[in-house]
Amino acid sequence: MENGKFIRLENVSKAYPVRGGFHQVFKNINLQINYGDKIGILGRNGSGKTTLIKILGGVTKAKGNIVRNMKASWPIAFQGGFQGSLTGFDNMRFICRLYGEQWQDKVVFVKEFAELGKYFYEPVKTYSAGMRARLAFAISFVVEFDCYLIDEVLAVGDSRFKRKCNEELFIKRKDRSFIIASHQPTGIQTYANRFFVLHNGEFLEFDRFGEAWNFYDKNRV
Amino acid sequence: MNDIVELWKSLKIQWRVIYALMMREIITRYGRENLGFLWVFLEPALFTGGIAFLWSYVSFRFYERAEFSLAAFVLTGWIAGKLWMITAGKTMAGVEANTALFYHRNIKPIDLMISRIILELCGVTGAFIVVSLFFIFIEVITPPVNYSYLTLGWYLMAWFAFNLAIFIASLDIMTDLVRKVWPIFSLTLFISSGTFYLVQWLPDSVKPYALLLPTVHNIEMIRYGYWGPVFTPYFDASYSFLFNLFFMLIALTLQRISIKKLEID
Repeated sequence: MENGKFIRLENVSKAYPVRGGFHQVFKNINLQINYGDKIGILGRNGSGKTTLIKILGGVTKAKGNIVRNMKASWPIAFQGGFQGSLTGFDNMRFICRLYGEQWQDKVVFVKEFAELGKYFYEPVKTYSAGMRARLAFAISFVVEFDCYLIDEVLAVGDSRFKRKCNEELFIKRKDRSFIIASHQPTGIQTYANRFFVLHNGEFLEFDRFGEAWNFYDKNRV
Repeated sequence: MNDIVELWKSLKIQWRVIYALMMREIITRYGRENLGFLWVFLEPALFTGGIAFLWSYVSFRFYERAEFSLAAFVLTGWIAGKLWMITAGKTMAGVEANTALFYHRNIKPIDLMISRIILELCGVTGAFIVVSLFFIFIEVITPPVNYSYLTLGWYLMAWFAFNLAIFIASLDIMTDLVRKVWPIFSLTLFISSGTFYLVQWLPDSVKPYALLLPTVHNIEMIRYGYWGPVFTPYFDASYSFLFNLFFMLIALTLQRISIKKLEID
């Protein structure tokens, strides 16, 4: 997929201030993601996966240089931006307005994909966790991106809904880039073609999924 | 030429973002049914209207020497003071409550701030107009005498509100202390800003200190515009203007610094 689109991290480091100094999350990450790359990142809780996703998405600042030449999504199925007293419909319209999409073109898709029925027009705070997740997934497909950021969300919903999401992401948009961060093997094994492990602040690339998994598994405990 | 095109494009995007944020907030606060958007004006109008009525009865004795109606005194002082107080307070709270929105990369803190500022300025200004019209209609006050001073004073106060809102909302991103100090600070400024007095009533030795506050100039200007020369106004529009200009510079600089400090969970 040669269209010259990429995101490049050059010597990117991130440290958070903690009491009595800094907690170094990772140091000197170098990574070029080309259009079409499917990046899988394995890492334990707290290894910095989410931080890295946030840096790639341009949400968090970091030390080092980031060359951004490709439109990255917000984390797929991200629910933090929901306003609880707004309806699913209102939340969808907000995202459409924000990204300059016509909501009239999207409403049918979102309503059907999220399977909320008449709850689509009820406040989000009345939703169950599953309903919120479904709405968040549906809204994620309202805007088209070059690169999708997927942070531990592939396990949402029942198996039928999971299939629907996977189809929407990995089949309908199979030419795009994906960055999948997870502590579980399944999604990465199935959909990634480049394999990384975040371990003790180091970012290591492996040629094959098996090697990455073995390394991760060995260092897990 | 290309730069201008780029700038125009990014301004259009920024306006789109601000508009989306404003709509979101309006629907959140007032719902899509009933009076909806009208509440932006009606809420502060009912509040200040109530205060004005209450106050005009309670404090009648104290102000009875005055040459103007008490309602006019409350109306001009209270709502003009609330213009910056509400704007700054709600802007600060609005940024804090919505940091999750920064996951959408085209939303910057300044967009959230500006969307809130526009909403609150419109709301309070609308309230000022609604309550004014109502009081004029029931003949408690007479219509404004000089619209240029009234508008100029109001405009300078709105500009001050804009600066203060950006200033404290940015400071709030950097330190939690602001939230604790704000109620004390805002109330002190509100009380010293001429809501409850005219500068002509102050002893000569105190006047220069009161006139250090641009808010005092603005309220005097607004009252002079409303009532005309029934009292001796003390104001200097250029002082208020320069103060605002300088304040805006500081506020916007602080805003830029605060972006670096912003951490999103």
